[in-house]
Amino acid sequence: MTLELRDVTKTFSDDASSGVRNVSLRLPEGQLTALLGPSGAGKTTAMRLIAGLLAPDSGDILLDGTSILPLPPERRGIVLVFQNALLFPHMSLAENVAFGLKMRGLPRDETARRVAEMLDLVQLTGLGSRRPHELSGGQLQRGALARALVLKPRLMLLDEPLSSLDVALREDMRDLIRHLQRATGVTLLMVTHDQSEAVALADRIALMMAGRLIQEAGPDEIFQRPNSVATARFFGGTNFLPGRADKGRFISSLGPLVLPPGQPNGPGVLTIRPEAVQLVDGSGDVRAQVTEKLFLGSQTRVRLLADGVPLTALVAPDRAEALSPGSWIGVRLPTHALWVLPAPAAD
Amino acid sequence: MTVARLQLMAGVVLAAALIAPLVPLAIWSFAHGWRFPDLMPRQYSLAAWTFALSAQSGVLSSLWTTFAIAGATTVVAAVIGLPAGRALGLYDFPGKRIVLLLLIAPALVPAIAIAPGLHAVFLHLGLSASWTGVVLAHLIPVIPYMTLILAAAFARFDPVHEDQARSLGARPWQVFRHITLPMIGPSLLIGSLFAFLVSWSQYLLTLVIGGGKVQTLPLTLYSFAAAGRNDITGAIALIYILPGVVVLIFTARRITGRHPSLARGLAP
Repeated sequence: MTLELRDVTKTFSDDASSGVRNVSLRLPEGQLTALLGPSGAGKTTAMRLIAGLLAPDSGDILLDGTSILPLPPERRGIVLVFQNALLFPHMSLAENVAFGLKMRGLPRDETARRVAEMLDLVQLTGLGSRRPHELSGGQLQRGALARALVLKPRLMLLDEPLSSLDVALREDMRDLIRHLQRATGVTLLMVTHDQSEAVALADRIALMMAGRLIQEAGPDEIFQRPNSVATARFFGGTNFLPGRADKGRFISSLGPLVLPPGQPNGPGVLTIRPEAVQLVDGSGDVRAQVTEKLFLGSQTRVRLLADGVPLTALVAPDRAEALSPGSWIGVRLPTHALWVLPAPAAD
Repeated sequence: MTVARLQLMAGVVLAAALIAPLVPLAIWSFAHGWRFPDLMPRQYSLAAWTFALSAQSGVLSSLWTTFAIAGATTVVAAVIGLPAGRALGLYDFPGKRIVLLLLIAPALVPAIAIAPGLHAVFLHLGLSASWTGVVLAHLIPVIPYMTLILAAAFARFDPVHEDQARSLGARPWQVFRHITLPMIGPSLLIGSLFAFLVSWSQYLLTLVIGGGKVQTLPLTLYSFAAAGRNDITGAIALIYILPGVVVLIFTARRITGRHPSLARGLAP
């Protein structure tokens, strides 16, 4: 099963923010892809287009090379699981899980068998006769997953499956989704606005912003080697230094810095993740003055000003203990952590 | 005083207020003459009931007519009210307030004010003195109830359930049958009940539009009342109120027992 979106566009006359524009994307078979982006990026619209609940203005959506646009939602073999664990309130858990099979006219005994099997898989054994209002948030969510998985879909779409759960449940559910995906081998596309969720769960991440697909890559790659300032910012990047790359060095107001190999020459924006910035006692690569210090628990965030360039470092709390606003410190920007982004278009 | 005792007292008062007016009717229907100042009739007979239930009186045939017209009115009102209520409950569109006002209008305007004009129009269309015409006329006071009750139900209904069902493999009619209908079911039942009873109790519109050709129970009832036959009137009146009572008894539980999960939402 391979899903492919080809140059798909869908805009809404009354809501400019939630459309999708010229999105092309391939979902690798049997993998979990996260469709990541801020709210209003068009993620849910993309889901509805794939599920067949919306028709695109232009472009094509293919499953194993065949366009599925002519097929109504119920014939696509794609199941979309909506946000907030929408179990039908007028049915028991077992009736909910059996719903899709019943619609397909499966014999009663086989339906019962597959429902029981699926309830075991999502650890809801014995709760089949409960009504949705008698289930906890986590149980509802697992019920909704079971209701979709029991249909053995070619592709399963999850819309923000974790956002309605509290933090403690979220990790359990994350593990369960991962486990279910591996156990069933279903191809999964999951919408989320939470980059940490995407990084922890997904094999591939597709980042969308303002209706466009910005970058599609593995979690490591998109995290360490973003393709734009926007992507880097979305993944928590804070340090951006305009300048130009020239023969393995980056020339900017901080002076020349040695780049890792393979960086193209020309104007660009140098970035380094805040946790890669090191504070040292000597002079380091550059001297900087502390402007702000914020204790975040497991890390301390230190804002610095080096030759008029703002930098942010995330360091171990004990490393920052002696610092206070106004004090001077050496800053090291390790070569292996430097990454040059294309200079953004003027905006 | 406990809540239970208050409830019991309220129940007793309500029952007394509703049932007391029916008592004289019941007595009349078995009376063989009942003159002032006697507190109770001196003699009883089954003559009124025998006559009322005979083919000659026309009561049974008008009972059937009333039932059929009320049933048809209810079905048509539901068919119109479901999409109309959905549009009003789920979507915002320009002119929605005007549509709402127009919908309530028939409930505000007395039937006698529109009956003559309606009659003229129906005559012109060849609809007067026909069952179709009477059903159409009954729809005027019935549709507001049905539509507004269903609009309120759809305002509480989240259509994403339908999308979810669709994505799980349900065809459009299956979505309606298994998702939409059960979820708005209690309201549809209330709306239908109202529709049936409003049509059941129509007098004026049936008289004017039916032109004497469509003889429903209230018309028969009134003709005996006007003729001063209190015994027969009493018997017919009891027959007349029976369906309302029966329907109410059978549906009361379903009307009040709504799905708890609808009210509680999905909160754990």
